[in-house]
Amino acid sequence: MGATLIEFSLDKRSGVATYMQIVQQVEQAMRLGRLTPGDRLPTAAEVVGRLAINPNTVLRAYRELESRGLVEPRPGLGTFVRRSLARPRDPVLEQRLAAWVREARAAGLGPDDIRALVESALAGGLAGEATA
Amino acid sequence: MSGVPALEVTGAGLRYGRTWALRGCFASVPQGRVAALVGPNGAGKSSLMRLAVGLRRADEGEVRVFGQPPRGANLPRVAFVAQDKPLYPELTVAETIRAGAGLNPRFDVQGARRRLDDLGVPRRKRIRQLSGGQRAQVAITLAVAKRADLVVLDEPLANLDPLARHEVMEGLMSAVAERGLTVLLSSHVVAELAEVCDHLILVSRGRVQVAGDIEELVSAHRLLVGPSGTTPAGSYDVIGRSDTERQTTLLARVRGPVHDPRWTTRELSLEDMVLGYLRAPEAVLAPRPVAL
Amino acid sequence: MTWLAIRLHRVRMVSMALVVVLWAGFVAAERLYPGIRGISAGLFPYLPLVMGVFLGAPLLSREYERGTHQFAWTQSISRSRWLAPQIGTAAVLALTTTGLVTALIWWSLSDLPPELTGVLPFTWALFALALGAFWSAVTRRTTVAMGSAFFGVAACQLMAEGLRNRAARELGWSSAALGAAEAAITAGLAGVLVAGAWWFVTRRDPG
Repeated sequence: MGATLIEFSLDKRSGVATYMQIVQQVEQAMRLGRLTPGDRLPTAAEVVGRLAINPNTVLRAYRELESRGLVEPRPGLGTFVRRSLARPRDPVLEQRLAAWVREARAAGLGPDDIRALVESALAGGLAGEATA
Repeated sequence: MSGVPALEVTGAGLRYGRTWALRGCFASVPQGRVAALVGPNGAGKSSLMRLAVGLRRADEGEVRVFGQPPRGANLPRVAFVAQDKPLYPELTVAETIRAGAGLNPRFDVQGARRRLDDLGVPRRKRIRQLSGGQRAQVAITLAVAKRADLVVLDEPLANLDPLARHEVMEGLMSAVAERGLTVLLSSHVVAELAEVCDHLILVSRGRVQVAGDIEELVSAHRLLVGPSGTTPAGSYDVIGRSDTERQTTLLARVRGPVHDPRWTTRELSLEDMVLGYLRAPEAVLAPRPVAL
Repeated sequence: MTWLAIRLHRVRMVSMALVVVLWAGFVAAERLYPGIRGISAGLFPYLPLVMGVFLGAPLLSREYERGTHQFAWTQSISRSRWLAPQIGTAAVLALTTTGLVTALIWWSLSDLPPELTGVLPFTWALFALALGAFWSAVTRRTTVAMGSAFFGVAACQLMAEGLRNRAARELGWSSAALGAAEAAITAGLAGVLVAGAWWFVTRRDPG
């Protein structure tokens, strides 16, 4: 049935429900292109054989992914990735971001400051937004 | 999967001599669940398990496993690992597997051997020569290899190191995933069950205090914090309360929204909810018998 | 599950083999030193005590003491089907040991005392075993069951001795009739005691 493509890991202190952590990790893997359409997700037995969690939790995560239209169960075969979340890479955007990060570092900003700025920009709360 | 509960306890009581260890207990575990039997030491967890596996008969009420009493022809459907993982110490691991195969018609010899080989438990060693963790693995492997539909484990994680705990749980959860079996396991440490169990039976002072789906139970309870001397408006039952000079904290089972701007509402963890009930032994939230 | 019952009796099998070796020693001694002739038969009444104490008394109490009854009785077979091979194995072991020891005495001495003829030694062995097993099921403590079995069997032997003498003296029974009656009574009591042990195992709940 092929090798296991991804493995999940749990952060027990994150406060995020276990099934949601699995959902997020599948989505993340899909965004980064590590899971592409047609890939099989590990079975519940494979997951619980490593994580020692309730298999119903895994099934629940897969149902959630299914309801988001990301995966589909094929009876007797497993759960398969239906579509891609990975975007084609944009070299221009990536170069400009890298250049900006270098500038920010040079201006004395640490990783947390940079993250906060990015978050803030995503939320639309930066000074330049109104005029842009 | 049929609708018959894997375990149904209706008004069960159990007596040791003239002292009641359990009285008027109600609980039901649907098939395919991993149920946690939780409570302080001496609350009656082991007694409830003995009833469930047929080691004792209820002195009042009834205990049914898949709709039948846990005796006779129903014995192959229930497996049990008692607290100290009793096995015959003079037998080797291989002989213990042989005994399991001889005592159970559905016994999975290959599966048991494979599992113990994977765990690195030497088959030629005698049970008395094994470490506590290895012995627990043998006992639990035997219970799973019986191919029972309900596996009952009394404190399976007690006296195990963290790695062995993880391995025990991995093995159990794999069996649940592969075969859809129902598990009832007891512990007095709630935290170690949160990732594993989806059903709760809370026993204290010889009765079932709370029983039901963990998620439903947790989402039905809230911690309400507000100024002392006031009570928030809304539909809820107070399980426990603590007061300081300025502030009142309520552990409540809510039936609808609580709207009072002076009061804040917080969600609870499973552990906090269990603690709240243990501090309020008179509060009971367990299924009652269906009127006949 | 006969294999398991036999396997769990392995140590007791070795002990019984040693008992036979011990009697072989007595027999060898009385043939070498005719002055102590009769010692092998004279010590024979101790054999049922050995059966009661070492085969009967540990039978169930060791399960309770080690908690293994919780393993054995939650497998797929009923307690009766678990108990039958346990008692059966112990009984076969008791009868074999008794048979070998009486054969040794027989070979050494030409004139045998009445308690060593016919089925009497075997019914006494079964009675002692059953008494040990009964106390084992009742007390659930090996040491207590061993003590109860020892004094129980010894008391019964003394009573039997007294009854035997009285019946011979007052009723004038022949030794053959006496032996037959004694065998029937001990065998019957053995049956009752085994039934009692079975009742305690299957009907009374483990603590």
